[in-house]
Amino acid sequence: MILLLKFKIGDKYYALNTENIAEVIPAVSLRQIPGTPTFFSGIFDYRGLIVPVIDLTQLTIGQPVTIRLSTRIILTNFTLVNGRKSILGLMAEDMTDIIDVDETAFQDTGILSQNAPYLGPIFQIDNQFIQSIELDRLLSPDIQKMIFSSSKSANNEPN
Amino acid sequence: MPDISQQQSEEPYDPFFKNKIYGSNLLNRPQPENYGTEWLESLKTQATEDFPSGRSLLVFRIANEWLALPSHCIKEITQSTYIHKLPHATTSVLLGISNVHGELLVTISMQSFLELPDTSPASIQPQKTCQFARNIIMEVNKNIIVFPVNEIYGLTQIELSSLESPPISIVKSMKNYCIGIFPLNDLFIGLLNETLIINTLNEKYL
Repeated sequence: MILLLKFKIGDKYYALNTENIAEVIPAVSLRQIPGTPTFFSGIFDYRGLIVPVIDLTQLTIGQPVTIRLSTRIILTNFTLVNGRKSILGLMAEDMTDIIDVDETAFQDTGILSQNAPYLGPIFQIDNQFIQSIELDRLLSPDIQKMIFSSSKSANNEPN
Repeated sequence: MPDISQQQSEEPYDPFFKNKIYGSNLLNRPQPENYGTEWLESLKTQATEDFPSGRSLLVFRIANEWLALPSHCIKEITQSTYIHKLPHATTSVLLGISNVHGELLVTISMQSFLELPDTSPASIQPQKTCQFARNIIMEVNKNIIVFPVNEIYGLTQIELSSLESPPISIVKSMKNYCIGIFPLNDLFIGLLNETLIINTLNEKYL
Protein backbone atom coordinates (compact mmCIF):
# COMPACT_ATOMS: atom_id res chain seq x y z
CA MET A 1 0.00 0.00 0.00
CA ILE A 2 1.28 3.41 -0.92
CA LEU A 3 0.30 6.63 0.78
CA LEU A 4 -0.17 9.55 -1.55
CA LEU A 5 -0.94 13.19 -0.96
CA LYS A 6 -3.72 14.29 -3.28
CA PHE A 7 -4.02 17.76 -4.76
CA LYS A 8 -5.47 19.59 -7.71
CA ILE A 9 -3.83 21.26 -10.66
CA GLY A 10 -6.41 23.12 -12.67
CA ASP A 11 -9.39 20.81 -12.74
CA LYS A 12 -7.51 17.52 -12.52
CA TYR A 13 -6.26 15.52 -9.59
CA TYR A 14 -2.67 14.57 -9.00
CA ALA A 15 -0.86 12.83 -6.21
CA LEU A 16 2.59 12.68 -4.72
CA ASN A 17 4.10 9.76 -2.82
CA THR A 18 4.40 10.70 0.82
CA GLU A 19 7.74 8.98 1.26
CA ASN A 20 9.71 12.13 0.49
CA ILE A 21 7.33 14.58 2.08
CA ALA A 22 8.78 16.23 5.17
CA GLU A 23 5.89 18.53 6.00
CA VAL A 24 2.81 20.21 4.54
CA ILE A 25 2.44 23.85 5.48
CA PRO A 26 0.03 26.67 4.67
CA ALA A 27 0.63 28.78 1.59
CA VAL A 28 2.72 31.43 3.27
CA SER A 29 3.73 34.71 1.70
CA LEU A 30 6.85 34.12 -0.35
CA ARG A 31 9.66 36.40 -1.29
CA GLN A 32 9.87 36.52 -5.06
CA ILE A 33 13.24 36.51 -6.75
CA PRO A 34 13.53 38.67 -9.86
CA GLY A 35 14.75 37.10 -13.09
CA THR A 36 13.43 33.64 -12.28
CA PRO A 37 10.79 31.67 -14.20
CA THR A 38 7.14 32.30 -13.43
CA PHE A 39 6.69 28.88 -11.85
CA PHE A 40 9.30 29.76 -9.22
CA SER A 41 7.00 31.41 -6.71
CA GLY A 42 9.74 32.49 -4.38
CA ILE A 43 11.49 31.58 -1.17
CA PHE A 44 10.81 31.63 2.55
CA ASP A 45 12.58 30.95 5.82
CA TYR A 46 11.87 27.47 7.11
CA ARG A 47 13.51 27.01 10.48
CA GLY A 48 16.61 28.83 9.37
CA LEU A 49 16.82 27.25 5.91
CA ILE A 50 15.95 29.12 2.73
CA VAL A 51 13.44 26.97 0.87
CA PRO A 52 12.47 27.56 -2.77
CA VAL A 53 8.83 27.04 -3.69
CA ILE A 54 7.56 25.92 -7.09
CA ASP A 55 4.04 26.72 -8.29
CA LEU A 56 2.89 23.34 -9.61
CA THR A 57 -0.10 24.85 -11.39
CA GLN A 58 2.10 27.31 -13.25
CA LEU A 59 4.65 24.63 -14.06
CA THR A 60 2.11 22.16 -15.39
CA ILE A 61 -0.60 24.17 -17.13
CA GLY A 62 0.89 27.64 -17.32
CA GLN A 63 -1.60 29.31 -15.04
CA PRO A 64 -0.85 30.72 -11.63
CA VAL A 65 -2.10 28.89 -8.59
CA THR A 66 -5.16 30.23 -6.80
CA ILE A 67 -4.35 30.84 -3.18
CA ARG A 68 -7.11 29.49 -0.99
CA LEU A 69 -7.04 28.04 2.49
CA SER A 70 -6.84 24.62 0.88
CA THR A 71 -3.81 25.66 -1.15
CA ARG A 72 -0.75 24.43 0.64
CA ILE A 73 2.96 23.95 0.21
CA ILE A 74 4.49 20.48 0.31
CA LEU A 75 7.99 20.48 1.74
CA THR A 76 9.80 17.61 0.06
CA ASN A 77 13.19 16.06 0.75
CA PHE A 78 14.73 16.74 -2.60
CA THR A 79 17.96 15.22 -3.89
CA LEU A 80 19.55 17.36 -6.57
CA VAL A 81 21.41 15.89 -9.54
CA ASN A 82 24.71 16.76 -7.87
CA GLY A 83 23.72 14.55 -4.96
CA ARG A 84 23.09 17.37 -2.54
CA LYS A 85 20.00 17.03 -0.40
CA SER A 86 17.77 19.98 0.19
CA ILE A 87 14.17 20.91 0.79
CA LEU A 88 11.95 21.89 -2.12
CA GLY A 89 8.51 23.42 -1.68
CA LEU A 90 5.67 22.58 -4.04
CA MET A 91 2.55 24.69 -3.97
CA ALA A 92 -0.72 23.24 -5.22
CA GLU A 93 -4.44 23.61 -4.68
CA ASP A 94 -6.96 21.53 -2.79
CA MET A 95 -4.40 19.69 -0.76
CA THR A 96 -6.56 18.17 1.91
CA ASP A 97 -6.44 14.43 1.50
CA ILE A 98 -4.12 11.52 1.79
CA ILE A 99 -5.09 8.40 -0.08
CA ASP A 100 -4.08 4.80 0.29
CA VAL A 101 -3.47 2.97 -2.93
CA ASP A 102 -2.36 -0.53 -3.77
CA GLU A 103 0.78 -0.67 -5.88
CA THR A 104 -0.98 -2.80 -8.46
CA ALA A 105 -3.58 -0.12 -9.11
CA PHE A 106 -1.09 2.05 -10.91
CA GLN A 107 -1.23 1.87 -14.67
CA ASP A 108 1.52 3.17 -16.84
CA THR A 109 0.11 5.62 -19.33
CA GLY A 110 2.74 4.57 -21.81
CA ILE A 111 3.21 8.22 -22.64
CA LEU A 112 6.26 10.09 -21.47
CA SER A 113 5.60 13.70 -22.18
CA GLN A 114 8.84 15.48 -22.94
CA ASN A 115 7.49 18.72 -21.60
CA ALA A 116 6.24 17.04 -18.46
CA PRO A 117 8.51 14.09 -17.67
CA TYR A 118 7.40 14.21 -14.06
CA LEU A 119 3.90 12.93 -14.83
CA GLY A 120 3.90 9.31 -13.78
CA PRO A 121 1.49 6.41 -13.67
CA ILE A 122 -2.23 6.94 -13.36
CA PHE A 123 -4.63 5.17 -11.08
CA GLN A 124 -8.35 5.25 -10.62
CA ILE A 125 -10.47 5.81 -7.56
CA ASP A 126 -14.24 5.93 -7.90
CA ASN A 127 -14.08 6.58 -11.63
CA GLN A 128 -11.73 9.48 -11.22
CA PHE A 129 -8.23 9.43 -12.61
CA ILE A 130 -5.35 10.61 -10.50
CA GLN A 131 -1.92 11.00 -11.97
CA SER A 132 1.12 10.61 -9.76
CA ILE A 133 3.98 13.06 -9.85
CA GLU A 134 7.52 11.75 -10.00
CA LEU A 135 9.44 14.10 -7.75
CA ASP A 136 12.90 13.38 -9.07
CA ARG A 137 11.82 14.28 -12.60
CA LEU A 138 10.12 17.49 -11.62
CA LEU A 139 12.98 19.85 -12.29
CA SER A 140 15.59 19.52 -15.02
CA PRO A 141 19.24 19.82 -13.93
CA ASP A 142 19.44 23.35 -15.36
CA ILE A 143 16.35 24.47 -13.51
CA GLN A 144 17.54 22.79 -10.31
CA LYS A 145 20.82 24.61 -10.53
CA MET A 146 19.14 27.92 -11.11
CA ILE A 147 16.53 27.57 -8.42
CA PHE A 148 18.78 26.24 -5.71
CA SER A 149 21.57 28.66 -6.40
CA SER A 150 19.05 31.50 -6.38
CA SER A 151 18.02 30.38 -2.93
CA LYS A 152 21.63 30.12 -1.85
CA SER A 153 22.57 33.56 -3.07
CA ALA A 154 19.64 34.89 -1.10
CA ASN A 155 21.28 33.15 1.82
CA ASN A 156 24.78 34.43 0.94
CA GLU A 157 26.28 30.94 0.96
CA PRO A 158 29.28 29.92 -1.12
CA ASN A 159 28.19 27.77 -4.11
CA MET B 1 -16.51 9.63 -19.08
CA PRO B 2 -18.58 12.53 -17.75
CA ASP B 3 -16.53 15.46 -16.63
CA ILE B 4 -17.51 15.41 -13.02
CA SER B 5 -15.37 18.35 -12.07
CA GLN B 6 -17.56 20.68 -14.12
CA GLN B 7 -20.67 19.75 -12.22
CA GLN B 8 -22.34 22.82 -10.78
CA SER B 9 -23.88 22.31 -7.39
CA GLU B 10 -24.14 24.05 -4.08
CA GLU B 11 -21.48 21.88 -2.54
CA PRO B 12 -18.58 20.61 -4.66
CA TYR B 13 -18.88 16.99 -5.67
CA ASP B 14 -15.78 14.99 -4.91
CA PRO B 15 -15.67 11.66 -6.72
CA PHE B 16 -13.86 10.19 -3.78
CA PHE B 17 -16.98 10.39 -1.75
CA LYS B 18 -20.17 9.11 -3.25
CA ASN B 19 -22.11 11.74 -1.33
CA LYS B 20 -21.59 15.46 -1.35
CA ILE B 21 -19.01 16.86 0.98
CA TYR B 22 -20.54 19.25 3.39
CA GLY B 23 -18.34 21.95 4.75
CA SER B 24 -15.60 21.54 2.18
CA ASN B 25 -16.34 25.09 1.09
CA LEU B 26 -14.76 26.07 4.37
CA LEU B 27 -11.39 25.19 2.97
CA ASN B 28 -12.00 26.62 -0.46
CA ARG B 29 -12.46 30.14 0.73
CA PRO B 30 -9.63 32.65 0.39
CA GLN B 31 -7.03 33.07 3.06
CA PRO B 32 -7.88 35.50 5.84
CA GLU B 33 -5.85 38.66 6.09
CA ASN B 34 -2.27 38.27 7.38
CA TYR B 35 -2.62 34.48 7.25
CA GLY B 36 0.43 34.13 5.02
CA THR B 37 2.66 36.41 7.07
CA GLU B 38 1.60 35.04 10.42
CA TRP B 39 2.51 31.52 9.43
CA LEU B 40 5.87 32.75 8.15
CA GLU B 41 6.77 33.80 11.66
CA SER B 42 5.99 30.48 13.26
CA LEU B 43 7.84 28.54 10.55
CA LYS B 44 11.02 30.52 11.14
CA THR B 45 11.79 29.08 14.54
CA GLN B 46 13.71 25.86 14.95
CA ALA B 47 11.54 22.92 15.81
CA THR B 48 12.96 21.82 19.09
CA GLU B 49 12.63 18.19 19.92
CA ASP B 50 10.48 18.00 22.99
CA PHE B 51 12.03 15.11 24.77
CA PRO B 52 10.96 15.49 28.33
CA SER B 53 14.02 15.26 30.48
CA GLY B 54 11.87 15.23 33.55
CA ARG B 55 11.92 12.25 35.81
CA SER B 56 8.83 10.78 37.28
CA LEU B 57 9.08 10.40 41.04
CA LEU B 58 6.97 8.89 43.78
CA VAL B 59 6.77 11.21 46.76
CA PHE B 60 6.13 9.79 50.23
CA ARG B 61 6.64 10.59 53.88
CA ILE B 62 8.50 8.65 56.52
CA ALA B 63 8.30 10.18 60.01
CA ASN B 64 8.72 13.88 59.29
CA GLU B 65 10.82 13.57 56.16
CA TRP B 66 9.33 13.86 52.71
CA LEU B 67 11.24 11.69 50.30
CA ALA B 68 11.08 10.61 46.71
CA LEU B 69 12.16 7.66 44.66
CA PRO B 70 12.19 7.30 40.86
CA SER B 71 8.88 5.77 39.87
CA HIS B 72 10.50 3.16 37.61
CA CYS B 73 11.81 1.30 40.63
CA ILE B 74 8.49 1.34 42.45
CA LYS B 75 6.90 -2.01 41.85
CA GLU B 76 3.77 -1.60 43.88
CA ILE B 77 2.15 0.24 46.74
CA THR B 78 0.07 -1.92 49.03
CA GLN B 79 -1.82 -1.76 52.26
CA SER B 80 0.11 -2.28 55.42
CA THR B 81 0.58 -5.95 55.96
CA TYR B 82 1.46 -8.10 58.89
CA ILE B 83 5.19 -8.44 59.14
CA HIS B 84 6.44 -11.83 60.24
CA LYS B 85 9.42 -11.30 62.46
CA LEU B 86 12.49 -13.35 61.74
CA PRO B 87 14.11 -15.23 64.60
CA HIS B 88 17.41 -13.85 65.86
CA ALA B 89 17.06 -10.70 63.82
CA THR B 90 18.40 -8.03 66.11
CA THR B 91 18.85 -5.14 63.78
CA SER B 92 16.11 -2.54 63.68
CA VAL B 93 16.46 -2.17 59.96
CA LEU B 94 15.31 -5.66 59.12
CA LEU B 95 11.68 -5.87 60.11
CA GLY B 96 10.92 -9.31 58.81
CA ILE B 97 8.96 -10.89 55.99
CA SER B 98 5.71 -9.73 54.45
CA ASN B 99 3.27 -11.72 52.41
CA VAL B 100 2.50 -9.75 49.28
CA HIS B 101 0.17 -11.50 46.86
CA GLY B 102 1.54 -14.80 48.01
CA GLU B 103 5.14 -13.80 47.66
CA LEU B 104 7.28 -13.54 50.77
CA LEU B 105 9.28 -10.36 50.58
CA VAL B 106 11.93 -8.93 52.84
CA THR B 107 10.59 -5.97 54.74
CA ILE B 108 12.90 -3.32 56.07
CA SER B 109 12.45 -0.16 58.02
CA MET B 110 13.52 2.69 55.81
CA GLN B 111 13.19 4.95 58.80
CA SER B 112 15.83 2.98 60.69
CA PHE B 113 17.99 2.60 57.65
CA LEU B 114 18.03 6.30 56.97
CA GLU B 115 18.21 6.99 60.71
CA LEU B 116 15.31 9.35 60.59
CA PRO B 117 14.26 10.52 64.03
CA ASP B 118 10.81 9.64 65.28
CA THR B 119 8.37 12.45 65.66
CA SER B 120 4.95 12.57 67.19
CA PRO B 121 2.21 12.36 64.59
CA ALA B 122 0.63 15.55 65.87
CA SER B 123 3.51 17.69 64.67
CA ILE B 124 3.15 16.55 61.11
CA GLN B 125 0.66 18.19 58.81
CA PRO B 126 -0.65 15.47 56.56
CA GLN B 127 -0.98 16.50 52.95
CA LYS B 128 -4.21 14.70 52.49
CA THR B 129 -7.23 14.73 54.77
CA CYS B 130 -6.60 11.23 56.14
CA GLN B 131 -3.37 9.51 56.96
CA PHE B 132 -2.78 6.27 55.22
CA ALA B 133 0.19 4.15 56.10
CA ARG B 134 1.27 2.09 53.17
CA ASN B 135 3.93 -0.34 52.08
CA ILE B 136 6.14 0.53 49.16
CA ILE B 137 7.51 -2.40 47.21
CA MET B 138 10.67 -1.34 45.49
CA GLU B 139 12.63 -3.28 42.90
CA VAL B 140 16.16 -2.41 41.87
CA ASN B 141 18.22 -4.81 39.77
CA LYS B 142 15.94 -7.72 40.61
CA ASN B 143 16.22 -6.99 44.34
CA ILE B 144 12.79 -6.57 45.79
CA ILE B 145 12.24 -5.05 49.19
CA VAL B 146 9.25 -3.75 51.07
CA PHE B 147 9.24 -0.84 53.46
CA PRO B 148 6.38 0.87 55.26
CA VAL B 149 5.79 4.59 54.90
CA ASN B 150 3.53 6.95 56.80
CA GLU B 151 1.97 8.63 53.82
CA ILE B 152 2.03 8.57 50.05
CA TYR B 153 1.78 11.90 48.31
CA GLY B 154 1.69 10.64 44.75
CA LEU B 155 3.65 11.06 41.58
CA THR B 156 5.40 14.16 40.42
CA GLN B 157 7.79 15.13 37.68
CA ILE B 158 10.89 17.20 38.01
CA GLU B 159 13.77 18.23 35.82
CA LEU B 160 16.93 16.72 37.20
CA SER B 161 18.72 19.97 36.53
CA SER B 162 16.49 21.72 39.03
CA LEU B 163 17.65 19.56 41.93
CA GLU B 164 19.34 21.49 44.68
CA SER B 165 21.99 20.05 46.91
CA PRO B 166 20.78 18.97 50.34
CA PRO B 167 21.19 21.42 53.22
CA ILE B 168 24.13 20.96 55.55
CA SER B 169 21.88 20.47 58.54
CA ILE B 170 20.42 17.15 57.49
CA VAL B 171 21.11 13.83 59.11
CA LYS B 172 24.42 12.26 58.12
CA SER B 173 22.87 9.13 56.71
CA MET B 174 20.55 11.19 54.57
CA LYS B 175 23.57 12.97 53.15
CA ASN B 176 24.71 9.69 51.67
CA TYR B 177 21.48 8.57 50.20
CA CYS B 178 19.88 11.84 49.20
CA ILE B 179 20.75 12.97 45.69
CA GLY B 180 19.15 16.36 46.02
CA ILE B 181 16.22 18.42 47.20
CA PHE B 182 13.36 19.84 45.19
CA PRO B 183 10.35 21.88 46.25
CA LEU B 184 6.82 20.61 45.96
CA ASN B 185 3.96 22.84 47.09
CA ASP B 186 5.21 23.96 50.51
CA LEU B 187 7.50 21.01 51.07
CA PHE B 188 11.05 20.13 50.30
CA ILE B 189 11.42 16.59 49.06
CA GLY B 190 14.61 14.63 49.29
CA LEU B 191 15.29 12.45 46.28
CA LEU B 192 16.82 9.16 47.31
CA ASN B 193 19.46 7.16 45.50
CA GLU B 194 17.73 3.82 45.06
CA THR B 195 20.75 1.89 43.79
CA LEU B 196 22.92 2.97 46.68
CA ILE B 197 20.18 2.07 49.13
CA ILE B 198 19.68 -1.41 47.71
CA ASN B 199 23.39 -2.11 47.48
CA THR B 200 23.99 -1.03 51.06
CA LEU B 201 21.03 -3.05 52.26
CA ASN B 202 22.35 -6.11 50.48
CA GLU B 203 25.81 -5.76 51.93
CA LYS B 204 24.97 -4.89 55.49
CA TYR B 205 21.67 -6.42 56.33
CA LEU B 206 20.54 -9.06 53.91
